[in-house]
Amino acid sequence: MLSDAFLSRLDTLQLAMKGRASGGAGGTRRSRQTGSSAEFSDYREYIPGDDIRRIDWNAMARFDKIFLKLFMEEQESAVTVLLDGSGSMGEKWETARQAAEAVSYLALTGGDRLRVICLQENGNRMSPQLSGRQAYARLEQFLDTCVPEGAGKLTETVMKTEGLRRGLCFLISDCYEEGGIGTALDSLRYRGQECAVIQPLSAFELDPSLDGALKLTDSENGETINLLADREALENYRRTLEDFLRDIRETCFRRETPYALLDAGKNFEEEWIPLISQSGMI
Amino acid sequence: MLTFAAPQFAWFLLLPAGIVVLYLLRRKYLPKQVPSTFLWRTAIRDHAANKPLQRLRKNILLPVQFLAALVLALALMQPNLTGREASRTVMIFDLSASMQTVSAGKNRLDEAKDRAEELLQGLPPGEEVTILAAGAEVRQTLTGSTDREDIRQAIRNLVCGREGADLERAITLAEAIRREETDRGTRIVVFSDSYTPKAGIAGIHAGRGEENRGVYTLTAEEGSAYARICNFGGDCRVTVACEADGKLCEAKETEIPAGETAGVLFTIPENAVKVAVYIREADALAADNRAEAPVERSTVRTVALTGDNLFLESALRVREDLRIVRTSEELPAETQADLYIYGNSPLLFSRDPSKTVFTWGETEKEPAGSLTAEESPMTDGLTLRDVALRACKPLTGGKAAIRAGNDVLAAYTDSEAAIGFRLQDSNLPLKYDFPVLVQNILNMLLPRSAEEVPETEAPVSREESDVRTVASDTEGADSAAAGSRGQDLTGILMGVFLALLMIEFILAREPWSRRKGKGAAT
Repeated sequence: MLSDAFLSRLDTLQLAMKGRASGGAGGTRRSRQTGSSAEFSDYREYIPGDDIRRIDWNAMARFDKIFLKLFMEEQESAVTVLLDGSGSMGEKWETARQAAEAVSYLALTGGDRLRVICLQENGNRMSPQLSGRQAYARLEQFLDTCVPEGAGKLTETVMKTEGLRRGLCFLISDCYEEGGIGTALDSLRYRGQECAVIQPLSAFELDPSLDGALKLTDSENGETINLLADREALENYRRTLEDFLRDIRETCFRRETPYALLDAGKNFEEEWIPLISQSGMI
Repeated sequence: MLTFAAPQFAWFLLLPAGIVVLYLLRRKYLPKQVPSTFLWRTAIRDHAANKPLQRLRKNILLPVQFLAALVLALALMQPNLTGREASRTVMIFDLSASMQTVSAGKNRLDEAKDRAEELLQGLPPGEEVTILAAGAEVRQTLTGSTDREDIRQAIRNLVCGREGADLERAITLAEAIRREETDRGTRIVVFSDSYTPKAGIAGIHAGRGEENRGVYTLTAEEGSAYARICNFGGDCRVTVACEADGKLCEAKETEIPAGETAGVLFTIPENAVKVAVYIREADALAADNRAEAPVERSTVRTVALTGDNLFLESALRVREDLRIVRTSEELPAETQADLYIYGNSPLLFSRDPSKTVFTWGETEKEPAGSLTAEESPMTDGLTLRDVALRACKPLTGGKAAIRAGNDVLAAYTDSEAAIGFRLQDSNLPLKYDFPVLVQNILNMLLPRSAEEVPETEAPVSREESDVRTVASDTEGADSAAAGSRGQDLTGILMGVFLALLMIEFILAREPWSRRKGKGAAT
């Protein structure tokens, strides 16, 4: 649950979108269509039947031809938030949910149509189409019903996800996926999604403080491994984590996908705006 | 047939079981739930990839350790592969004093003889038996006999000495015998209360640890005797008595802690010649409970010498127990000396010069002939070859020792000796006969104290009393080993053990590049 103060800070921000909105009702995104907004787009010669209110009289006086002023058509954009709802998200679920709420709030206040999909092993949970600031309360109600559980096969669930409309897509996941998230991103891009990746990781995952002989149990699938958590073991883990994060970053970079690593151990409302600003999501 | 020379090490067979238990009880892993083991698996996989022996180590370490412990236990038991063909047996008997130790009414030597008899009964017909008796010296009392009765008789005739046993020498001799017989197996069996069996040489232990006290040392001087009593058993209080010349003069009680010694001082008569000290309480080894010693007297004798004769002084100094005092010819009796030597012509050696029996002429004359030695203690070893004389004063009195013609030039009694010429008138001091003559005279008149020592019974040697009498209870060490012969497997097993140790070392070793910090994966 985000504070009102934080939400009011979000009011001044807008989600960045490289491409043009296409289709849908009127909104605040520039579309490929010319239309009736106040933003100038181009000139063209008059064709009978055109709205004479758009004739540029000054240009006609100068060139002795009738020109018509064209304006941008502003349309709404579709924003989809894919929230990883696997068991591994349990520890950082609160942070992931806050991120989803923040992105959704930006989408709703930006006049976009929003859909939040919670990716789960036993079938995705999908929110209704939401639009307008007043839909934020419904969004929260929807997120309240989502509980992280089950094994997470991110690529598989993303590829099975239906009902995606061309637009922005925010993937919020810890990205624990054999083979990386490249395939999942490619699948989304293929379906017209302009992706951004937000990766929340808990403080334990970023800097585990373990000691002694431990039997680690995976919260997703119950798998166990025995670990002698000595200095070398922790060093190995840190090296593996660095490789893992670098791999995710490079995967996103190659696909021109904004990426943000979210430390669940820190205060979300303090970290969020600088983080997505730096990553180019707003 | 497989036999074991040291079956007492069978306890070590529990070692492998202990290793298994340790494996079962090894480190417990505390459960901890983590969001995902995804990264940990990868980290561990990388770690394992750096340890190619890791998997092998995990799978093989326990069996290797198990095997190593098993092989070690078997090696300690000294297995032998035996055959039953007629061969040769060398029996070595420890005849040290400690074999007299009595346990359950029987001394250790008797027990060893019984065990030897048992062994004898189990020998195949035609087996040759050699018996070595290891006392202070090693004797071969029976050589290669197949006659059972001869063998039994030879064993029965063995008796203990009062000293130690040179087992090492006996074993060396037995091994030499074995080397001679390369075509037949030769078994060596040592019957002892202290021998520890080693590869190829079986040992049959006789006796068990018993309480024992012994007289460790005994010294006696004029007026006192000092005995040191060793306690080879538990804390005790003993009564130590002292006899001087066969008469009891003192008895004292003393407390001696376990394994310690205690000194006891006795007062004895000044004129006692021999003392004996004994412990009244009976114990396992009676032989070391009594010791005798002669009373030592002051050994330095004083010789009063008049005149100035370097040759004579040099000859006297050969006896290190003499103190030579120069004195005047007029006042010799004022010097308290054991022997007086004075006068140049004649030369007189006397214990009491006031009572001399010798007389001699007033004037010197030329010798009547060449010098000849009479058979006497004074001339023992003298040749008098090339001894020349310029002038002499013939002697009368005493027994003649050296003559020149009919003239007596040297004579002696029990307390005196005289030479009837001046040394400077003769070349005798330059001959090797001169020191011999002087020593003969000294031996007659001042015999060495050692020669007066009465015969005594010295304490049993310390090493016999202490270690052997209280030998640890290793009874029944290896009767099975006595039958062992043929191929000794101990060496092979030890080799296998070392090889397994090496394998375990290699498997257990960390990768060279990451010596510090043990690996994460298990």
